[in-house]
Amino acid sequence: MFPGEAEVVVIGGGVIGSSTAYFLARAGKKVVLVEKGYKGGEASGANAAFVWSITRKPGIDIRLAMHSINIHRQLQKELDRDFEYVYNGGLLVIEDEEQLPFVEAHVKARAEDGYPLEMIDAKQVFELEPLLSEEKIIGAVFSPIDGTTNPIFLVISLNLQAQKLGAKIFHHTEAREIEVMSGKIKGVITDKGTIKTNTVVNAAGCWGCFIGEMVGLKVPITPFQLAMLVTEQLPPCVSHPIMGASYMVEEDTGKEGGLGCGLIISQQAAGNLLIGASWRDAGYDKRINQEEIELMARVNVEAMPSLKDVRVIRSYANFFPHTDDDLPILGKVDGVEGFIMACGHNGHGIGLGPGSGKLIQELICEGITSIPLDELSLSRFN
Amino acid sequence: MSMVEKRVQKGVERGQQFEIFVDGEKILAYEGETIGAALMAAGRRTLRYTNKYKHPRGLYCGIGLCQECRMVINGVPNTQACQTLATPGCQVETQQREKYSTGLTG
Repeated sequence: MFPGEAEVVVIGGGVIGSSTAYFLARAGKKVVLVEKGYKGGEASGANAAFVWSITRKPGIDIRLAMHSINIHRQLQKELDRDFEYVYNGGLLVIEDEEQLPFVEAHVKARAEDGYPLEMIDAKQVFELEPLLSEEKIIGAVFSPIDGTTNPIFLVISLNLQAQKLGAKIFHHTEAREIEVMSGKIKGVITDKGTIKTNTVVNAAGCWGCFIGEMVGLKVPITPFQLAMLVTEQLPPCVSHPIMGASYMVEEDTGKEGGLGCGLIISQQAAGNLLIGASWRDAGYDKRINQEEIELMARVNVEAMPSLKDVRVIRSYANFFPHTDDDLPILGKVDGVEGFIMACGHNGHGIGLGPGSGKLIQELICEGITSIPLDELSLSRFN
Repeated sequence: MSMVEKRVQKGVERGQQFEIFVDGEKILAYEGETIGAALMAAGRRTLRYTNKYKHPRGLYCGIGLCQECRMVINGVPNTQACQTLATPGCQVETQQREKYSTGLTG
């Protein structure tokens, strides 16, 4: 039976919406989640699977990441279904001297902010990851708290647990309109029926801008494509999430529209390596072309030469919601009472999602959040 | 029924007969046969065990699509037995993830 009313309607069944629904249900709220496709069917199900802090910037960025890592660990104890979260530490590998000043500046800024990082030399890198090329890697930043998860299992586990706690979750259910009266949320009209509610959470990721439009808000989120390759299953051979420091070099990030690629390697519990990642500005287009696949293969084989003998079994691409300052949009908005933003995670949704879900639950239930959301409000773009 | 009798006899001309090794055991194969075909003729139906639940898997589609017949062939894991021709003396192992190494080196 489709519910006619709810205390909270969450729009979006990715990791952020699912986390929000779970924490709200746990807090006793009558919550309904509507998802136009399937749970974790977009960016939450097609990403690098990192639960990561190394490249998070000082300030609110690293605070969100640290908070969310703690929530991941809490979920690992709370959720009945395992989601293969392991944390042996993460590596940001430095591939050439040009990257070094960017990395050093970042490490210094993090230390000044009270979130220090450890620089390790090439020898220590090869002790941690023997398959990396000795010719290619000159050192790394190591963070002992970083790890990988199975993003699809994470979303499934959150959904199942939320349902056990009474949340109503509807897939293939699209929010079409949001009813607002005198500046207050009154309900959500979906293709399955209308749900009366006073509170809506916009956790629609790349579609967050369209949900915003329904209440007259301009949400500056644009899609940005990220592609990955999946290899055949192998015995354990890569034990840390590995990222290349090219991601720290702003000019290299390709966000001006061109095709770019940076080293990403991790191994899932099933044994598949996830390698990538190439990016391009492709709008709402998930297709991946031969050029991207070849570029990813080349970048990763240079860093880890023995990958040349490993077979790629499939590839995937998705687009993540990009904001101009690379930070998510979280919290209440001016002018529409009961409308709460929870999107724009810039490709860090898996890492930050559970933390964001907890913060939104705190905002709704207690009116105050354990991390202030002022810097993350939509109004910062005005 | 012997190995040879399991093969179609009438109207078929076979190439050279030779031995291949499957988990150390000798079985007969003919030039032009796939490893998958030679194993079927030898009555060996289990080609690998699944990673997680260790369920046995055998030759299923036989035409290179289903990926069920992956074995360790001449040291290379995840090689399709139905797509790999038998060669004299080749080494074939039932694939169990715990029992092979990646073979990858830094």
